[in-house]
Amino acid sequence: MNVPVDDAGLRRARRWLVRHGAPGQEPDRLLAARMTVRERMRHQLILHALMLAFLVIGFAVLREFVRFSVAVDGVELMGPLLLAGAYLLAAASAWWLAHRKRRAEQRIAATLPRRTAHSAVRLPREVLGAPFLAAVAVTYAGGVALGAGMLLFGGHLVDRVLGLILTAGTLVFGVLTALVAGEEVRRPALADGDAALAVDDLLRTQDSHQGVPYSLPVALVMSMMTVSPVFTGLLLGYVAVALLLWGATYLTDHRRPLPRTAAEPTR
Amino acid sequence: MIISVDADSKVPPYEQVRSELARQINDGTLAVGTKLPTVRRLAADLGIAPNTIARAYRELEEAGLIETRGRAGSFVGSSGDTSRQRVREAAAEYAAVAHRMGIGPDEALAIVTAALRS
Repeated sequence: MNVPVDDAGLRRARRWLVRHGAPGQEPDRLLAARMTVRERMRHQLILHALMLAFLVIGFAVLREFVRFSVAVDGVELMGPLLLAGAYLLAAASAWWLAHRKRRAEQRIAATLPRRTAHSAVRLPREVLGAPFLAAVAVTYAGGVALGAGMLLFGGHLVDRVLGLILTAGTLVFGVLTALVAGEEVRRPALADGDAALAVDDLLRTQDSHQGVPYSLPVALVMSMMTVSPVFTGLLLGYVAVALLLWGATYLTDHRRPLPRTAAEPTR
Repeated sequence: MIISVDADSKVPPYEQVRSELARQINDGTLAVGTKLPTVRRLAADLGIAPNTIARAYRELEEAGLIETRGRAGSFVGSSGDTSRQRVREAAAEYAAVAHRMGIGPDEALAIVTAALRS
């Protein structure tokens, strides 16, 4: 494999192996290279989140000096619209980062002289796992239902606009999450032996869960903006249930043990 | 249930794929009815051309080890065990013919080896 790997990459790979039940195992260069790619993407995600935060804060500060207004029937809608813009930018960032990571790993794959794959089909539900599917169903189907409810039954214009944003934004994010998860399920295997394939399976599952459920922070912000106390309660309940499910998914992923075949080094 | 292709091997990639799948089907690692990856998927996984996988699948299908069910994909065929049984029967018949012709076991084996390699 002709990919430069530094000590930091090897250290990250060692930590990853310990976390997944293979302590003492010396990581191979492939895993170290993949950990380096992931670390780079994590830095980019933080950078994007910071840029988005600065953009929102900058816009809010600018509004103190220059008066922007988007009002319908005398109701100011700049806040909800700003939220919708941030929502879309976050969606674009998530998709772009996932795409870049796959491209970087494809370049690593091209350097492997030996490639290994499963000889039988793995079903998407085997890759994604039940906790993730439950979290996705509650987050996206629940978010759309709640947003539609606010849109249809909201007594105040602000509630209806918030409902529209929650419905549309959650739909967009639901499609995006499905796209990212689907691309991860379908992406080519990146392995040069049994152990590397077991690692690849685990990374595939983790990567397919990487779509951040942005509709939850948005719903949380909306719970403070909505006029109706009923919607406040429903939004908070929705966030709490979905957070529990996502927490379970991430905790399971974080400590999921590698299958026994991966307990031995490939090289 | 894994399959590997070594780009540095002297064995052609299609033969590496064909022989490994045939071995897994014959020893029962891949059970009857197991769905195989699509040609494109396996080609992408192994970093080789789809035509290479298509050739391996075609030969496995001709040997009766797998069957293609239209758009549903390729599956391990139920005739896998039958194929081995047929080969065993043919070997027994060959052994009987060699015995009748007065050909010794070593020479008979050499003839089979040459035939397998040709």
